[in-house]
Amino acid sequence: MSVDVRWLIPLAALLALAGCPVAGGDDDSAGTDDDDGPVGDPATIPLAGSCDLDQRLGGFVAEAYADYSIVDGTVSDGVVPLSVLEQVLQQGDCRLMKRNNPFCDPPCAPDETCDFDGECIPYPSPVDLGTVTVLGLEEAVVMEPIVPGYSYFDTSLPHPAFLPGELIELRTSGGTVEPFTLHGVGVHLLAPPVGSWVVAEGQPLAVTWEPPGTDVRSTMALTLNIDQHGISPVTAWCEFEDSGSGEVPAAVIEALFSAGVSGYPNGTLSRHTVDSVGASTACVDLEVASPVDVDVDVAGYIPCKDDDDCPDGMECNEAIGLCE
Amino acid sequence: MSPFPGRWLWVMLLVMAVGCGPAEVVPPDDDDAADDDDVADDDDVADDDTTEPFDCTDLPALPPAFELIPGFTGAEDFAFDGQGWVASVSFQGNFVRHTIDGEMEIIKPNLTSEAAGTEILPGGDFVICDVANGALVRVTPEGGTTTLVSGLSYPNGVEVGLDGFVYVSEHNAGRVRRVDPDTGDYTIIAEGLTNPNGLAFSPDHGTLYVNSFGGGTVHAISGSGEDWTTSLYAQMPATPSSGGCDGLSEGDECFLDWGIGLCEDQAGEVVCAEHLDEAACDGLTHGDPCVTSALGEVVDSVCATVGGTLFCPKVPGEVVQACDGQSSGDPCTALGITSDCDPSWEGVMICDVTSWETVVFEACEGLAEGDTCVVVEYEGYSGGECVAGPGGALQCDVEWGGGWDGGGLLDGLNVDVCGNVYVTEYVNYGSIWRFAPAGGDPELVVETGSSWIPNMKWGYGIGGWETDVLYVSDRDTAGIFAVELGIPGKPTAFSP
Repeated sequence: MSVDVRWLIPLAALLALAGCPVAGGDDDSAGTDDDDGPVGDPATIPLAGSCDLDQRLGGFVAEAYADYSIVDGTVSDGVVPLSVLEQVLQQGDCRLMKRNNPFCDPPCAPDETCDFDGECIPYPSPVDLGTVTVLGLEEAVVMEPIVPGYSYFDTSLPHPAFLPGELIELRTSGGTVEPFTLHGVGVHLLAPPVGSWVVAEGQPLAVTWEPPGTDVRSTMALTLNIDQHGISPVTAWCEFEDSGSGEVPAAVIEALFSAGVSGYPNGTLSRHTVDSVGASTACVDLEVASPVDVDVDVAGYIPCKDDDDCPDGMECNEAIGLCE
Repeated sequence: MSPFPGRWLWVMLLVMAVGCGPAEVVPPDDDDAADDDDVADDDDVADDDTTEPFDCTDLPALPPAFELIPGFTGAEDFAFDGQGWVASVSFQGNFVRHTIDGEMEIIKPNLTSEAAGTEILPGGDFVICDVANGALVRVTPEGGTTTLVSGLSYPNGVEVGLDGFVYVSEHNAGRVRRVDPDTGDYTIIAEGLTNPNGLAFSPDHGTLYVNSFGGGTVHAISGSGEDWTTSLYAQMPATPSSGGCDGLSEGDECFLDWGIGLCEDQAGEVVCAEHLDEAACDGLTHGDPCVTSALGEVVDSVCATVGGTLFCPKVPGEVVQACDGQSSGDPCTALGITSDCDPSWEGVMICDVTSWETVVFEACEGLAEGDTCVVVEYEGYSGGECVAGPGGALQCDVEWGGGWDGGGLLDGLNVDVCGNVYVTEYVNYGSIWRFAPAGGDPELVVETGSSWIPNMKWGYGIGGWETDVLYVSDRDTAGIFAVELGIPGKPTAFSP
């Protein structure tokens, strides 16, 4: 395990978030007005991308699914070690991320968690951000924390909650940490792909989607997991240009198979913009997204009882219950 | 996933909009016992007055009829609430609830990226296994969250006792904890289990059953306070798909579907039975060198203890020593290869240094096309027929084994009012099996045809969810199977 993480972030680092000279915080190009919504050019507003996992204290999402939209977020005073996935491969636009299993003996106290050195550390606590306001949506959202847990969410938004190309701004005020501001840009709703992805060992996976047009700020995030019941499952994460197509390299697919095939495979596509604010040890992000689930079939691992259960060109090996 | 486009019911569940303040925070107390609010009292617990008498001597015939109700989340688990909705964590990580007709409300968006066991406390709060963060999380119906206990190693199954305490299995740590629903204080009540998964109490809540994903066993846990005992209640029988003991004699080695057994005479029939070489460790202790055999080959190993049994594993000692005291997924190095620790087919933690891409070819070395082959992995055995692969090299075309068809991958578990124990089996045609209260071999209840039916619950008789129908989550279709057993479930801590 080679993840080098300063697991528990001092609250002071979080307190300093707003003072960090990082894109995503207010700057000259993105002045705001408390009453009139975000001010800035959605074509040029700086978007700093996602937080690194080992620095991510939490964040917010504004998501438009097929039938509903939500805004949601939570920020904690530390990072849960288990949530820091290990990058085991990177090729092209894709990375292979592995969930490791920290183990402590004796077990930790109820309010502790285990780090990768086998030490018990305090479990991160959610922090009070005060009032969280999201502007630039179809309707402005103002959220107070839900307790217990200091989570923020609104599931009663108009749908879709945002329009493509519109500037979105999230700001906090009045909490136990200094205020911070994050930005996003509304994305085009993503239509679910037709059919399923068929993943074959050693073969690249080509994926397509309907492109949104030109001059968009969005990118396309892909996840693929074929080892749902694995002990240390790995997941492919890709980040493509939002051009309508992308490819998961054969080496990544091969590594997925090598890590194990179990459970019900699944994939996702998410058209999004991501902004973040933070220092070297503490980071919070905002994702504006239109996610969809994708059915996935794993060639050679399609469960079956008889030939009728198998895709064309495959037969059911009834002895092991898999299409071949 | 959008199971019912246009059928969302938009109900404001939460105090979350402009001008709404937070609710009162109640800090956990130091009391060992769960608070009164969370501990079921006589009014909360389903009692005999509200349960129809049921004749356990005359169970309805099997198999029962079943149907798939579409339009849920495909979650690992679910819980019925007091309004007749079924609550579960969606694939997107949202904690939602549905009616049987497909209406949906969001309880808490983005609760976790991976959830497992889901249950409801006597007072109506939910407890959920947060796999992604190794925690047991309590969620109010309004979406407030409290991490009850963290540092869990793949929390999987969850059950709530009549006393309101929460029981959680840790798949990767082989243990079960009893957790105070208010303070998170816990007691470890069972250890040394192989991939413990589903959990459920007996009708009198005196016995907690837990099954094994990969071990094919169901153990019974009983006790109180700090004094708990674990015993083997039942196990899945060896399956005959590997040939069993056809043509073999008593005492011969034979193939289970996941490892090596010994042919035994059982009631006049020679069958392939599980066998751990305990004799090779007579007079020795854990970690001492020992000698056993596998497929006629001498194996130098070291004694290991699994579930209280000391035996000589049929794998090299170095791969055992490399993971002694380690957990599944921990890195290890043995025989010059770096890998991860995983349970072997005998349940002992070993360094998984075998590579499938290698062993399928090794299995056909010295054999001809069409010959029977056996693939040897330290995790398990499988076999089939040698065939020419790409490039003409012979490789073993596996037709049996690997545990996939062996009746060992038990997932969900629940208990009916008569004390019969039901388990769901992973992959194997979506099978549900039933053990009698006294244990013994199970009987097949139904094959749903699904590849993954991880958990099951009985309804509360409201919202269209019947009390004598067993509802089974289906991850293949994001539906719920309604299995018309005609038998009610055991009493539960929550009562609507």
